[in-house]
Amino acid sequence: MKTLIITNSFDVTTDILISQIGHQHVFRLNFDLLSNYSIYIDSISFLIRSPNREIVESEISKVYWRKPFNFSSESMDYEYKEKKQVVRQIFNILSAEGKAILVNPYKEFEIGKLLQLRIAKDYFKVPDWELILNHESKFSRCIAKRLSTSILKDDKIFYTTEIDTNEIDLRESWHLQHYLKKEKDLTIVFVLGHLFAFELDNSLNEIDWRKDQIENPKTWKVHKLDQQFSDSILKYMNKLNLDYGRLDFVIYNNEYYFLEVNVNGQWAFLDTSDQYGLLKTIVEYIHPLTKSTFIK
Amino acid sequence: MTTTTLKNHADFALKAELIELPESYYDYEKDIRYNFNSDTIKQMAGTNTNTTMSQKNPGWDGDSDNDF
Repeated sequence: MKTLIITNSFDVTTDILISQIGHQHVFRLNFDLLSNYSIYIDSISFLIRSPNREIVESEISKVYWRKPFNFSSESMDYEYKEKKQVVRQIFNILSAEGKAILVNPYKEFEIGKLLQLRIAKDYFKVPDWELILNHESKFSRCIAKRLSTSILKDDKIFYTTEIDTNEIDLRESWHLQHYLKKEKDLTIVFVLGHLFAFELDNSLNEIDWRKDQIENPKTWKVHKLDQQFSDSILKYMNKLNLDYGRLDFVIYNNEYYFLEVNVNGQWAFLDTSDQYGLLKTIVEYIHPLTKSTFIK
Repeated sequence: MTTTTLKNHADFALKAELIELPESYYDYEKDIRYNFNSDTIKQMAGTNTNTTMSQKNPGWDGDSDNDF
């Protein structure tokens, strides 16, 4: 039996997983190289053949949705969209057979950015927020965040940014949030009830730590969680019916403030060398021969 | 009289910088991309930007799958 990992060929996280799990236990389907695969699906079974290997549906015990579409494509045309559907259909078939683990990509749409914030207020402190379109803001200076991951023209990215609401065009939609001058960032990976927490000192005072991570990669340190806060996270993830997620918080006045949960958030960067048990835990769930909880 | 131009998302957006990647090829036998040496892997995985989209747009966190 094998685990099917649906991703792209540049996904280093999958490289790391394969090195840990063993190549013989994984079949990797890279969406960016789809033209090099042959695929056959009918009412009984499916077959996927790469230039060197092949796998049939019955050989797959688990499917893990990684990051198939996270790459820049020159083409967003009809054929590209049809091919995206091919890998979605493969995932759907396996998911319906109860083989999908950890990540349910449909949850991204189901939960979104705002519903998760609404639900979070029952479990955590949440900075005040609003979504406005053709409407005045209740804030003056605040943080603006994007709802999608779209890239703007000329490869520009709208990072989380501090703004003055008197300066913004209200004909655009704005997701705004009260600005907390954070002391630390906190990110917590949730894996079926296991919590792996890491903090990042706010030494550079960046509002969005992702801006500067190539030139000045930050070192995340292990953060110890107290039981009450851990319980709140477990209850929140249970409420959202998520088996996996990376939750982002800020620490302000020694209290935790919820920012968001990413249902397919990147995690390998926190434990590339398997020092903290995160990599080991995920490997254990992904390995095709171990017992797993499957997404509902 | 001066006219204030109101800002939209694009006015706040920053240009993504390119990461230079070494030449690499995909090995179907082992199902990994080759010539990504350990430093490259560390840089990519260690910065939470381990996809090609992120390589082109390193600040893009790659966390969301809105286009699923």
